[in-house]
Amino acid sequence: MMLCSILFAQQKRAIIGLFPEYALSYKLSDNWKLIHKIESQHGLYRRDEELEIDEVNYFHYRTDIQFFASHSLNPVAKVDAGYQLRFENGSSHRFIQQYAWINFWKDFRLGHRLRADQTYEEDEAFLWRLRYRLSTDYPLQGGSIDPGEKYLAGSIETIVGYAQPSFEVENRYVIGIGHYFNNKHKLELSIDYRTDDHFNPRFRQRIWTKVSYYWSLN
Amino acid sequence: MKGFYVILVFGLLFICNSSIAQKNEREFRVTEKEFPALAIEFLKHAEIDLDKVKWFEEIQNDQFFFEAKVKVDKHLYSIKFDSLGNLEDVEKLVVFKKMSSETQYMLSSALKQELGKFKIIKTQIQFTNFEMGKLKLNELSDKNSTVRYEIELYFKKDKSKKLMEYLLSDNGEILSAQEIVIRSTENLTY
Repeated sequence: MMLCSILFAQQKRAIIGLFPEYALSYKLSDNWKLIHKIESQHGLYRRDEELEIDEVNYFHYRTDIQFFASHSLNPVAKVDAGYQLRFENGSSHRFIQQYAWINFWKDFRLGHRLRADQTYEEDEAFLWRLRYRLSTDYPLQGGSIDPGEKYLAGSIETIVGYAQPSFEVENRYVIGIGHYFNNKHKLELSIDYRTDDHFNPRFRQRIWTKVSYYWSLN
Repeated sequence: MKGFYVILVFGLLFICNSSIAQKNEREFRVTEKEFPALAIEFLKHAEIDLDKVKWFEEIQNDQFFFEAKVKVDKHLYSIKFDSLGNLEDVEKLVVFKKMSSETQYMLSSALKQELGKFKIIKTQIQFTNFEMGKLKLNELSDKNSTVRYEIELYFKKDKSKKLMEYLLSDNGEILSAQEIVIRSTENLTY
Protein backbone atom coordinates (compact mmCIF):
# COMPACT_ATOMS: atom_id res chain seq x y z
CA MET A 1 0.00 0.00 0.00
CA MET A 2 2.82 2.38 0.96
CA LEU A 3 4.76 1.34 -2.11
CA CYS A 4 1.74 2.05 -4.30
CA SER A 5 1.33 5.48 -2.76
CA ILE A 6 5.00 6.36 -3.31
CA LEU A 7 5.05 4.95 -6.84
CA PHE A 8 2.08 6.94 -8.01
CA ALA A 9 2.38 9.99 -5.78
CA GLN A 10 2.72 12.25 -8.84
CA GLN A 11 0.11 10.48 -10.96
CA LYS A 12 -3.53 11.20 -11.50
CA ARG A 13 -4.88 7.70 -12.08
CA ALA A 14 -3.46 4.23 -11.61
CA ILE A 15 -4.59 0.63 -11.46
CA ILE A 16 -2.69 -2.48 -10.43
CA GLY A 17 -4.14 -5.91 -10.91
CA LEU A 18 -4.23 -9.39 -12.37
CA PHE A 19 -4.79 -10.16 -16.04
CA PRO A 20 -5.38 -13.79 -17.01
CA GLU A 21 -5.84 -14.52 -20.72
CA TYR A 22 -6.48 -17.72 -22.58
CA ALA A 23 -6.26 -18.31 -26.32
CA LEU A 24 -7.50 -21.38 -28.15
CA SER A 25 -6.75 -21.89 -31.83
CA TYR A 26 -7.41 -24.55 -34.41
CA LYS A 27 -6.69 -25.02 -38.07
CA LEU A 28 -9.54 -25.40 -40.52
CA SER A 29 -7.21 -25.99 -43.45
CA ASP A 30 -3.61 -25.23 -44.45
CA ASN A 31 -4.54 -21.57 -44.92
CA TRP A 32 -7.37 -20.94 -42.47
CA LYS A 33 -7.38 -20.89 -38.70
CA LEU A 34 -9.86 -19.86 -36.01
CA ILE A 35 -8.76 -18.25 -32.76
CA HIS A 36 -10.83 -17.68 -29.64
CA LYS A 37 -9.50 -15.61 -26.80
CA ILE A 38 -10.75 -14.61 -23.39
CA GLU A 39 -8.96 -11.97 -21.37
CA SER A 40 -10.05 -10.63 -18.04
CA GLN A 41 -8.65 -7.79 -15.97
CA HIS A 42 -9.09 -7.74 -12.20
CA GLY A 43 -8.01 -4.74 -10.16
CA LEU A 44 -6.34 -5.02 -6.76
CA TYR A 45 -5.33 -1.40 -6.28
CA ARG A 46 -6.85 1.81 -7.61
CA ARG A 47 -5.92 5.45 -7.32
CA ASP A 48 -7.90 8.34 -8.74
CA GLU A 49 -7.05 11.75 -7.35
CA GLU A 50 -10.09 13.49 -8.76
CA LEU A 51 -12.45 10.98 -7.19
CA GLU A 52 -10.27 10.83 -4.06
CA ILE A 53 -9.84 7.08 -4.36
CA ASP A 54 -6.66 5.42 -3.12
CA GLU A 55 -7.47 1.90 -2.06
CA VAL A 56 -6.36 -1.71 -2.12
CA ASN A 57 -9.49 -3.58 -2.98
CA TYR A 58 -10.60 -6.21 -5.50
CA PHE A 59 -12.76 -5.09 -8.42
CA HIS A 60 -13.62 -6.57 -11.80
CA TYR A 61 -12.30 -4.15 -14.41
CA ARG A 62 -13.24 -5.75 -17.73
CA THR A 63 -13.56 -9.04 -19.58
CA ASP A 64 -13.10 -9.42 -23.33
CA ILE A 65 -14.16 -12.31 -25.53
CA GLN A 66 -12.55 -12.34 -28.96
CA PHE A 67 -12.98 -14.37 -32.14
CA PHE A 68 -10.62 -14.25 -35.12
CA ALA A 69 -10.64 -15.86 -38.54
CA SER A 70 -7.07 -15.98 -39.80
CA HIS A 71 -5.89 -16.49 -43.36
CA SER A 72 -2.21 -17.18 -43.93
CA LEU A 73 -0.70 -15.44 -46.93
CA ASN A 74 2.55 -17.41 -46.64
CA PRO A 75 4.35 -19.23 -43.78
CA VAL A 76 5.34 -15.93 -42.16
CA ALA A 77 2.43 -13.55 -42.85
CA LYS A 78 -1.32 -13.59 -42.32
CA VAL A 79 -4.42 -11.41 -42.31
CA ASP A 80 -7.18 -11.62 -39.69
CA ALA A 81 -10.72 -10.41 -39.22
CA GLY A 82 -12.01 -10.39 -35.66
CA TYR A 83 -14.78 -9.43 -33.32
CA GLN A 84 -14.62 -8.59 -29.62
CA LEU A 85 -17.36 -8.43 -27.06
CA ARG A 86 -16.33 -6.45 -23.97
CA PHE A 87 -17.99 -6.42 -20.58
CA GLU A 88 -17.11 -3.29 -18.62
CA ASN A 89 -19.95 -1.33 -17.03
CA GLY A 90 -22.17 -2.62 -19.81
CA SER A 91 -20.99 -4.09 -23.08
CA SER A 92 -19.23 -2.86 -26.22
CA HIS A 93 -18.63 -4.35 -29.66
CA ARG A 94 -15.33 -4.13 -31.50
CA PHE A 95 -14.48 -5.08 -35.08
CA ILE A 96 -10.85 -5.89 -35.75
CA GLN A 97 -8.72 -6.17 -38.90
CA GLN A 98 -5.07 -7.06 -38.72
CA TYR A 99 -2.04 -7.90 -40.79
CA ALA A 100 0.66 -9.79 -38.94
CA TRP A 101 4.01 -11.13 -40.01
CA ILE A 102 7.13 -12.51 -38.39
CA ASN A 103 10.78 -12.25 -39.23
CA PHE A 104 13.95 -13.56 -37.69
CA TRP A 105 16.88 -11.58 -36.37
CA LYS A 106 19.75 -13.50 -34.75
CA ASP A 107 18.08 -15.75 -32.16
CA PHE A 108 15.08 -13.43 -31.91
CA ARG A 109 11.76 -14.13 -33.54
CA LEU A 110 10.06 -10.81 -34.18
CA GLY A 111 6.31 -10.56 -34.52
CA HIS A 112 4.77 -7.50 -36.17
CA ARG A 113 1.10 -6.73 -35.83
CA LEU A 114 -0.62 -3.89 -37.61
CA ARG A 115 -4.19 -3.67 -36.43
CA ALA A 116 -7.21 -1.43 -37.00
CA ASP A 117 -10.29 -1.63 -34.81
CA GLN A 118 -13.63 0.11 -34.49
CA THR A 119 -15.61 0.08 -31.26
CA TYR A 120 -19.31 0.65 -30.77
CA GLU A 121 -20.72 1.31 -27.32
CA GLU A 122 -24.16 2.64 -26.56
CA ASP A 123 -24.24 6.36 -25.70
CA GLU A 124 -20.52 6.71 -26.57
CA ALA A 125 -18.80 8.18 -29.63
CA PHE A 126 -17.63 5.60 -32.16
CA LEU A 127 -13.96 4.81 -31.44
CA TRP A 128 -11.50 4.28 -34.31
CA ARG A 129 -8.04 2.98 -33.52
CA LEU A 130 -4.85 2.11 -35.39
CA ARG A 131 -2.16 0.21 -33.59
CA TYR A 132 1.23 -1.41 -34.16
CA ARG A 133 2.86 -3.98 -31.91
CA LEU A 134 6.37 -5.38 -32.07
CA SER A 135 6.82 -8.53 -30.03
CA THR A 136 9.45 -11.18 -29.55
CA ASP A 137 10.19 -14.49 -27.94
CA TYR A 138 13.84 -15.18 -27.22
CA PRO A 139 15.27 -18.56 -26.16
CA LEU A 140 16.72 -18.65 -22.66
CA GLN A 141 18.24 -22.12 -23.15
CA GLY A 142 20.18 -22.59 -26.38
CA GLY A 143 19.77 -20.94 -29.74
CA SER A 144 16.14 -21.89 -30.34
CA ILE A 145 13.03 -22.43 -28.25
CA ASP A 146 12.55 -26.17 -27.96
CA PRO A 147 9.86 -28.11 -26.08
CA GLY A 148 10.27 -27.94 -22.33
CA GLU A 149 12.28 -24.71 -22.46
CA LYS A 150 11.78 -21.21 -21.14
CA TYR A 151 11.87 -18.05 -23.20
CA LEU A 152 11.85 -14.33 -22.73
CA ALA A 153 8.66 -12.69 -23.96
CA GLY A 154 8.30 -8.98 -24.64
CA SER A 155 6.36 -6.48 -26.67
CA ILE A 156 5.83 -2.78 -27.21
CA GLU A 157 2.73 -1.31 -28.76
CA THR A 158 1.47 2.12 -29.67
CA ILE A 159 -2.22 2.77 -30.21
CA VAL A 160 -3.65 5.90 -31.77
CA GLY A 161 -7.38 6.36 -31.36
CA TYR A 162 -10.00 8.85 -32.40
CA ALA A 163 -13.41 9.28 -30.80
CA GLN A 164 -15.13 12.53 -31.58
CA PRO A 165 -13.97 15.12 -30.64
CA SER A 166 -10.47 14.04 -29.65
CA PHE A 167 -7.49 11.81 -30.38
CA GLU A 168 -5.94 9.54 -27.80
CA VAL A 169 -2.62 7.72 -27.57
CA GLU A 170 -1.91 4.64 -25.54
CA ASN A 171 1.39 2.83 -25.05
CA ARG A 172 1.83 -0.73 -23.83
CA TYR A 173 4.97 -2.51 -22.68
CA VAL A 174 5.11 -6.18 -21.77
CA ILE A 175 8.03 -8.15 -20.39
CA GLY A 176 7.94 -11.64 -18.98
CA ILE A 177 8.97 -15.24 -19.23
CA GLY A 178 7.30 -18.06 -21.07
CA HIS A 179 7.38 -21.80 -20.94
CA TYR A 180 7.13 -23.69 -24.22
CA PHE A 181 5.64 -27.07 -23.38
CA ASN A 182 5.36 -28.02 -27.05
CA ASN A 183 3.86 -26.54 -30.21
CA LYS A 184 0.37 -26.88 -28.74
CA HIS A 185 0.86 -25.41 -25.28
CA LYS A 186 2.56 -22.24 -24.11
CA LEU A 187 2.38 -20.42 -20.79
CA GLU A 188 3.60 -16.89 -20.16
CA LEU A 189 3.88 -14.80 -17.02
CA SER A 190 4.50 -11.15 -17.64
CA ILE A 191 4.15 -7.61 -16.42
CA ASP A 192 1.96 -5.49 -18.70
CA TYR A 193 2.41 -1.75 -18.24
CA ARG A 194 0.02 0.63 -20.01
CA THR A 195 -0.14 4.39 -20.14
CA ASP A 196 -2.79 6.58 -21.72
CA ASP A 197 -4.39 10.02 -21.57
CA HIS A 198 -0.89 11.48 -21.95
CA PHE A 199 -2.16 14.89 -23.03
CA ASN A 200 -4.71 15.03 -20.30
CA PRO A 201 -4.34 16.11 -16.67
CA ARG A 202 -5.90 12.75 -15.85
CA PHE A 203 -2.89 10.76 -17.12
CA ARG A 204 -3.41 7.07 -16.38
CA GLN A 205 -1.11 4.12 -15.72
CA ARG A 206 -2.13 0.51 -15.45
CA ILE A 207 0.12 -2.35 -14.36
CA TRP A 208 -1.10 -5.87 -14.80
CA THR A 209 0.42 -9.16 -13.79
CA LYS A 210 -0.52 -11.15 -16.84
CA VAL A 211 -0.81 -14.92 -17.08
CA SER A 212 -1.31 -16.08 -20.67
CA TYR A 213 -2.05 -19.57 -21.88
CA TYR A 214 -1.96 -20.46 -25.57
CA TRP A 215 -3.44 -23.73 -26.71
CA SER A 216 -3.37 -24.87 -30.35
CA LEU A 217 -5.58 -27.87 -30.99
CA ASN A 218 -3.84 -28.92 -34.23
CA MET B 1 2.74 -5.47 -3.66
CA LYS B 2 6.41 -5.75 -4.69
CA GLY B 3 6.71 -8.98 -2.72
CA PHE B 4 3.65 -10.31 -4.51
CA TYR B 5 5.30 -9.85 -7.94
CA VAL B 6 8.57 -11.41 -6.77
CA ILE B 7 6.67 -14.49 -5.52
CA LEU B 8 4.76 -14.78 -8.82
CA VAL B 9 7.90 -14.55 -10.98
CA PHE B 10 9.84 -17.06 -8.89
CA GLY B 11 6.77 -19.28 -8.69
CA LEU B 12 6.70 -19.63 -12.48
CA LEU B 13 10.47 -20.18 -12.63
CA PHE B 14 10.03 -23.03 -10.17
CA ILE B 15 7.18 -24.57 -12.18
CA CYS B 16 9.25 -24.33 -15.38
CA ASN B 17 12.33 -25.87 -13.78
CA SER B 18 10.39 -28.79 -12.40
CA SER B 19 8.92 -29.78 -15.76
CA ILE B 20 10.41 -32.62 -17.77
CA ALA B 21 11.37 -31.96 -21.39
CA GLN B 22 10.60 -34.51 -24.05
CA LYS B 23 12.05 -34.02 -27.50
CA ASN B 24 14.48 -35.29 -30.10
CA GLU B 25 16.54 -32.15 -30.50
CA ARG B 26 17.78 -29.73 -27.89
CA GLU B 27 20.38 -27.03 -27.73
CA PHE B 28 21.95 -25.83 -24.48
CA ARG B 29 24.25 -22.94 -23.72
CA VAL B 30 27.48 -24.29 -22.21
CA THR B 31 30.80 -22.76 -21.20
CA GLU B 32 34.16 -22.89 -22.93
CA LYS B 33 35.40 -25.26 -20.22
CA GLU B 34 32.79 -27.86 -21.21
CA PHE B 35 33.96 -27.88 -24.83
CA PRO B 36 36.26 -30.73 -26.02
CA ALA B 37 39.93 -29.77 -26.09
CA LEU B 38 40.20 -30.79 -29.75
CA ALA B 39 37.45 -28.34 -30.71
CA ILE B 40 39.10 -25.52 -28.74
CA GLU B 41 42.36 -26.32 -30.50
CA PHE B 42 40.66 -25.97 -33.89
CA LEU B 43 39.19 -22.61 -32.93
CA LYS B 44 42.58 -21.35 -31.71
CA HIS B 45 44.28 -22.48 -34.93
CA ALA B 46 41.60 -20.64 -36.90
CA GLU B 47 42.57 -17.53 -34.88
CA ILE B 48 39.09 -17.05 -33.47
CA ASP B 49 38.74 -14.70 -30.49
CA LEU B 50 37.37 -17.17 -27.92
CA ASP B 51 35.94 -14.33 -25.84
CA LYS B 52 33.48 -13.60 -28.65
CA VAL B 53 32.30 -17.21 -29.07
CA LYS B 54 28.88 -18.42 -27.93
CA TRP B 55 29.13 -22.06 -26.85
CA PHE B 56 26.37 -24.64 -27.35
CA GLU B 57 25.79 -28.32 -26.86
CA GLU B 58 23.24 -30.00 -29.08
CA ILE B 59 21.46 -33.33 -28.78
CA GLN B 60 20.15 -34.53 -32.11
CA ASN B 61 18.43 -37.92 -32.29
CA ASP B 62 20.39 -39.16 -29.25
CA GLN B 63 23.69 -37.92 -30.69
CA PHE B 64 25.76 -35.22 -28.98
CA PHE B 65 27.32 -32.32 -30.82
CA PHE B 66 29.06 -29.13 -29.84
CA GLU B 67 28.54 -25.87 -31.67
CA ALA B 68 30.51 -22.63 -31.48
CA LYS B 69 28.89 -19.51 -32.91
CA VAL B 70 30.99 -16.45 -33.66
CA LYS B 71 30.91 -13.37 -35.84
CA VAL B 72 33.92 -12.84 -38.13
CA ASP B 73 34.09 -10.03 -40.71
CA LYS B 74 30.37 -9.26 -40.21
CA HIS B 75 29.34 -12.86 -40.97
CA LEU B 76 27.91 -15.24 -38.39
CA TYR B 77 29.66 -18.62 -38.41
CA SER B 78 28.43 -21.82 -36.75
CA ILE B 79 31.16 -24.39 -36.25
CA LYS B 80 29.86 -27.85 -35.43
CA PHE B 81 31.87 -30.61 -33.75
CA ASP B 82 31.05 -34.16 -32.73
CA SER B 83 31.12 -35.16 -29.07
CA LEU B 84 34.88 -35.77 -29.19
CA GLY B 85 35.63 -32.42 -30.79
CA ASN B 86 36.10 -33.58 -34.39
CA LEU B 87 34.91 -30.98 -36.87
CA GLU B 88 31.60 -31.74 -38.60
CA ASP B 89 31.10 -28.59 -40.67
CA VAL B 90 31.28 -24.81 -40.73
CA GLU B 91 28.25 -22.74 -41.75
CA LYS B 92 28.45 -19.11 -42.78
CA LEU B 93 25.33 -16.95 -42.81
CA VAL B 94 25.16 -14.84 -45.98
CA VAL B 95 22.71 -12.64 -47.84
CA PHE B 96 21.62 -14.45 -51.01
CA LYS B 97 21.64 -11.32 -53.15
CA LYS B 98 25.18 -10.49 -52.04
CA MET B 99 26.62 -13.75 -53.36
CA SER B 100 28.28 -13.74 -56.80
CA SER B 101 25.79 -13.42 -59.64
CA GLU B 102 26.96 -16.79 -61.06
CA THR B 103 26.20 -18.56 -57.76
CA GLN B 104 22.84 -16.80 -57.43
CA TYR B 105 21.91 -17.80 -60.97
CA MET B 106 23.04 -21.42 -60.51
CA LEU B 107 21.07 -21.86 -57.25
CA SER B 108 17.99 -19.93 -58.45
CA SER B 109 17.81 -21.95 -61.69
CA ALA B 110 17.99 -25.26 -59.83
CA LEU B 111 15.30 -24.22 -57.35
CA LYS B 112 13.10 -22.67 -60.02
CA GLN B 113 13.17 -25.89 -62.01
CA GLU B 114 12.09 -27.82 -58.91
CA LEU B 115 9.63 -25.38 -57.36
CA GLY B 116 8.52 -22.71 -59.80
CA LYS B 117 8.09 -19.49 -57.80
CA PHE B 118 9.77 -19.26 -54.40
CA LYS B 119 11.07 -16.71 -51.90
CA ILE B 120 14.38 -17.11 -50.10
CA ILE B 121 14.45 -16.28 -46.40
CA LYS B 122 17.86 -17.44 -45.22
CA THR B 123 21.06 -18.67 -46.87
CA GLN B 124 24.04 -20.40 -45.31
CA ILE B 125 27.18 -21.65 -47.01
CA GLN B 126 28.32 -24.97 -45.59
CA PHE B 127 32.02 -25.88 -45.69
CA THR B 128 33.29 -29.43 -45.12
CA ASN B 129 36.35 -31.54 -45.98
CA PHE B 130 38.98 -28.90 -45.40
CA GLU B 131 42.27 -29.27 -43.59
CA MET B 132 41.85 -28.51 -39.93
CA GLY B 133 44.26 -26.14 -38.30
CA LYS B 134 45.47 -24.36 -41.40
CA LEU B 135 42.66 -22.04 -42.37
CA LYS B 136 40.94 -19.02 -40.88
CA LEU B 137 37.16 -18.92 -41.19
CA ASN B 138 37.18 -16.06 -43.67
CA GLU B 139 39.60 -17.97 -45.91
CA LEU B 140 37.19 -20.86 -46.47
CA SER B 141 36.10 -21.17 -50.10
CA ASP B 142 35.28 -23.72 -52.79
CA LYS B 143 39.03 -23.88 -53.54
CA ASN B 144 39.97 -25.40 -50.20
CA SER B 145 36.80 -27.20 -49.09
CA THR B 146 33.58 -28.82 -50.21
CA VAL B 147 30.91 -26.15 -50.47
CA ARG B 148 27.18 -26.68 -50.13
CA TYR B 149 24.34 -24.21 -49.82
CA GLU B 150 21.62 -24.44 -47.19
CA ILE B 151 18.65 -22.35 -48.23
CA GLU B 152 15.45 -21.65 -46.34
CA LEU B 153 12.60 -20.58 -48.59
CA TYR B 154 8.90 -20.78 -49.08
CA PHE B 155 6.92 -21.70 -52.16
CA LYS B 156 3.36 -22.43 -53.12
CA LYS B 157 2.20 -26.02 -53.22
CA ASP B 158 -1.40 -27.28 -53.42
CA LYS B 159 -2.80 -23.79 -52.72
CA SER B 160 -0.73 -23.36 -49.53
CA LYS B 161 2.76 -22.02 -49.02
CA LYS B 162 5.38 -24.32 -47.49
CA LEU B 163 8.51 -23.29 -45.65
CA MET B 164 11.38 -25.57 -46.66
CA GLU B 165 15.09 -26.06 -46.16
CA TYR B 166 17.06 -27.16 -49.22
CA LEU B 167 20.64 -28.35 -49.36
CA LEU B 168 22.34 -27.84 -52.73
CA SER B 169 25.76 -28.84 -53.96
CA ASP B 170 28.18 -26.32 -55.49
CA ASN B 171 26.93 -27.25 -58.94
CA GLY B 172 23.29 -26.69 -58.06
CA GLU B 173 22.25 -30.29 -57.46
CA ILE B 174 19.51 -30.60 -54.82
CA LEU B 175 20.88 -32.94 -52.17
CA SER B 176 18.06 -32.84 -49.64
CA ALA B 177 14.85 -31.02 -48.80
CA GLN B 178 12.82 -30.89 -45.61
CA GLU B 179 9.84 -28.93 -44.47
CA ILE B 180 10.34 -26.45 -41.63
CA VAL B 181 7.54 -26.12 -39.16
CA ILE B 182 7.42 -22.68 -37.53
CA ARG B 183 6.47 -22.66 -33.87
CA SER B 184 2.94 -21.40 -33.43
CA THR B 185 2.86 -17.61 -33.47
CA GLU B 186 -0.27 -16.94 -31.41
CA ASN B 187 1.79 -15.44 -28.59
CA LEU B 188 3.25 -12.91 -31.02
CA THR B 189 0.13 -11.98 -32.94
CA TYR B 190 -2.87 -12.01 -30.55
